[in-house]
Amino acid sequence: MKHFLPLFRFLFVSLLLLILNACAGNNDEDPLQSDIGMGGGTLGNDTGTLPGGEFIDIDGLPPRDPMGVPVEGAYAPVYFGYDSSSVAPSEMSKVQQIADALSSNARYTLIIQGHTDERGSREYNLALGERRALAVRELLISFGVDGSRIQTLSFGEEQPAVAGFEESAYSMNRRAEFQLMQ
Amino acid sequence: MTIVRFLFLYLLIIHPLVSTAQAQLDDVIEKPGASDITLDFSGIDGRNPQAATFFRSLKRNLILHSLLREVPPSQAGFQVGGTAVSQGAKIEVSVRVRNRSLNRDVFGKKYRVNPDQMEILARKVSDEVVKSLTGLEGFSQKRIAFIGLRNGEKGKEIYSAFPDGSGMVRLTRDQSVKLGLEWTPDGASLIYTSYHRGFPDIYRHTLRDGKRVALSASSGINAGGAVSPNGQKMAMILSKDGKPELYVKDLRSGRLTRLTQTPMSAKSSPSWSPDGRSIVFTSSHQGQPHLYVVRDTGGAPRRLTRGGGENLSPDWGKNGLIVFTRRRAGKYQISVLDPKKGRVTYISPMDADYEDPSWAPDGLHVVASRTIRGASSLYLLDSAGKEAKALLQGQGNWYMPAWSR
Repeated sequence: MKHFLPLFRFLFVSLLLLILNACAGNNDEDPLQSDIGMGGGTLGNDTGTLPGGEFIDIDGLPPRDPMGVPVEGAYAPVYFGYDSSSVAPSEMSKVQQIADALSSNARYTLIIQGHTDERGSREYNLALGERRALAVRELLISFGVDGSRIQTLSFGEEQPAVAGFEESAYSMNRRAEFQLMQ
Repeated sequence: MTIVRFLFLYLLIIHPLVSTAQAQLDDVIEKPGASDITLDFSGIDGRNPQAATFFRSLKRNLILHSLLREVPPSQAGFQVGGTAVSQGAKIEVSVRVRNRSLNRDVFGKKYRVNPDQMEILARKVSDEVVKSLTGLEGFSQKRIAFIGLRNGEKGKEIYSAFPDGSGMVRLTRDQSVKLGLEWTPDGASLIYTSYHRGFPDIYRHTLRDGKRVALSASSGINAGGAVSPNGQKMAMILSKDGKPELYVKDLRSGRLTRLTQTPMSAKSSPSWSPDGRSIVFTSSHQGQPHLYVVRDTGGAPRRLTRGGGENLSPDWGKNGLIVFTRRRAGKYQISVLDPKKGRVTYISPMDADYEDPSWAPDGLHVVASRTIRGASSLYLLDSAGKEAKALLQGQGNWYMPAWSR
């Protein structure tokens, strides 16, 4: 049975891609080459090392496999300061709630979405949003959650929670959001 | 214009421009207000419809150029003239540019084209006239790719158009978020990050057939894909190993090498040096985002910027200069860094936020997005800091331009 797991995974990913392509619908003008397996790391993943540079991996992200279906229920977003990815003490209880939810059910996995306000370049904000999601992930790991259960998904400034060009809107957009999966 | 004035102008502007790229920027910047090359268009006979189309397009392209300026005929150094007449199924177009003070043509050419090719011809002739007047390569025939969010639509899609706004085409229609647009050096493909499969992955989009292939889709972010000048490597930002870092992938062997290893920080926007040996990128590992340069074989990154609250989106031009965005006095401003001298000049007005600059093929102009309260449009800037000119605005938001070169 164990030997068939990769096959099932392959079939599942293929099916998912087929559905995604079908959903995309009217895209005759931009056919997408169905190069299956890109999510699982068939790309060159042999990270090289450099002379003189010591590479210490902190907890790397798990392979981006399908993570199941969303679990009902909303968790409060964690908010951040401008250009910051430090989790303030006042936000810590929100992270603890997520840690509790993950430890209550071993089948749950988590996607942390990272977001920024609209200031700064879109590309930099993509990395900043990722950094926020990763900071929360590191905290969860320090609370005892297995890092292999946590994916990050940065949207940078592309999906603001609140429209507006004042600090009141910006502060609501600098956030990490949580989605439990099972 | 007298001969003496013309010679003075030639020595002041044109000669330094053609001599070396290095001298180009310095000399122009240190002599702001140095006279433009002045043109009038009084010599045009635009009576038939094709002639009208052609000369309207030619004029639009010429006056986009920052060294050329339209003035009344009495003040003009050069007169643009010409005709377009039907010759059977073809149109015969003749264009000449006359030096008014010497009373001599400095440019004169005839073309025979199909009636539906008037705009194509106008872009070509504009580049030829620019070359003869300034000695510089023109930019009119090179496309600008950009991301657009049309009013009433949800999708952030990719478009491309010529700088004069003609030939606009839409390249995607999948409604997914896209960012980080770059051309491959051969001009045949675009590289960008798309959420087509729900996560930020890097794709190569071949323009000829519209095919998109995922080049990097590891866990976390796959962003800032930039192909090296020889087309063999791609620099990018990945977070699969736990934090965003700069990587280089050999596109033939697939081998991936991590170039940076810094404390947790945001990194973005790698851009290759003209010789393909170094990469400039943005990193916040020492606090605020600054520009750093690293050899593509690795080693310690060297910091290039000191000032500014934020230093973002570098684009390293063939002229050796790095154009980037700097936050300064509460505004995002387009800035040019000479990495050899460490000197920064500011080239965008303070009336709005200007971001995401990309060098024009001539190494003199820059295209950037201009944003006021969330409304973005595309603007043409000049690295001597002259007037900003609108290229595309209205009917939506247009941003993240990348000029083919």
